[in-house]
Amino acid sequence: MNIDINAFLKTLPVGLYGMGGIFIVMVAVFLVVKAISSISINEK
Amino acid sequence: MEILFENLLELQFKQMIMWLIGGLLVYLAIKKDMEPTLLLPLGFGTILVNLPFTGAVTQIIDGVKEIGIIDILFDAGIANELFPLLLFIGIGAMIDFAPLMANPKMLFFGAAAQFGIFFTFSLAALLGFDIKDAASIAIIGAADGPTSIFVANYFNSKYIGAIIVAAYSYMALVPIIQPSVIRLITTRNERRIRMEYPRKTVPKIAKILFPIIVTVIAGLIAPRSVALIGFLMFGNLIRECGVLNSLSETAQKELANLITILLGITVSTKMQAELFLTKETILILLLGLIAFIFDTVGGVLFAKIINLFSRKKINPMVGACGISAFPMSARVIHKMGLKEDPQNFLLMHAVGANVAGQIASVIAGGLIIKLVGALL
Repeated sequence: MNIDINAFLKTLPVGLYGMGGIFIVMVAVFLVVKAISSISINEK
Repeated sequence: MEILFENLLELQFKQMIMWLIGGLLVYLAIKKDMEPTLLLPLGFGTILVNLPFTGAVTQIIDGVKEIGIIDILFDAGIANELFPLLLFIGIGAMIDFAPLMANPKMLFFGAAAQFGIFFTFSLAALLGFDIKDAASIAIIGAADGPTSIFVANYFNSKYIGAIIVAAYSYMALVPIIQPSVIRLITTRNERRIRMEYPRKTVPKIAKILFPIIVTVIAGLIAPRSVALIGFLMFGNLIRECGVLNSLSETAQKELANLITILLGITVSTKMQAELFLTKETILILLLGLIAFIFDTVGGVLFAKIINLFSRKKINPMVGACGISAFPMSARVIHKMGLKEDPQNFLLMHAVGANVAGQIASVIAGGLIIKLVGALL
């Protein structure tokens, strides 16, 4: 195995966008679930 | 007489090592109950495909190509991603998202605990793996067998055998990996934080809308994840709609069982000695472990960061449940919570984060396909 700094640097944006993308999806789902909850979820 | 023994003379030392590895997988499945549904067929398949001139896989014998049944199954079910996707229908039908819907903050722990995937991706690339192989190895951190198979197969990784062994082995080792990592990065006081569970009932309409909405949102942001998340949510919709109970039961039992039987033995075609016995395999097993460790670190540290700003403190152990290994991770954290404080019931929070991890890991798989595709 050879250490490949260039390949490593190329992967960093993937990590950034990847984690960002997952959080964006989760924020969107969170907001929708909150919206549904405010309409229909009943507290016991 | 000689004709009966000529095959025996073709036996290679490497193949015998693979028998031992196959035997070890069968032993772990039966004796240690480690993911037996996959490791047992995979272990047996490993022995099967490492017999000299085995008829189970495609061979060229005397210049004639003889197609093996395991390769036929591989082309029919793995190469076109059919088996992992069908399995997702069954998994979706098994999941109850109600604990997550009652406590949607847990969604963010599902996201944070995917950190190990991207950390490992960069590390694998640094160590010299081809970008496609690095992405395939990194997805071990999804802690989700079908997603690992889906992504590794998408990138046509030659390491798919090692990746699957690592993914399923570490999923089974969650009760060992996660507590060790959590104890290293949390204090006893943090582990004793109690969390109040919102006592809410989730109505049927919300449960029905949830899989549809998640599919649409994931599809808009990470279109490559649509096949995975779509089949997962389709299974869940069958479960929650209330009019397809028979189909839901079939998806949970017969469909999931049938695919699981075929999945393990089919994947074993990639366990042939010349593909598996390489130094890269050891590195992949190590990188898979790193992925699981950093998933846990990501979830725990995210909870700690939230605690810096939030009045209602979160037990950081719950963050670790954001991995997809369901329900193993939730159970482990619940037990750890009870061990620290017998009155600390974290189960429902842990289950919420754990099912969020199932959604997040699938989205991570879709995103890594999309982003790495753009990089190439």
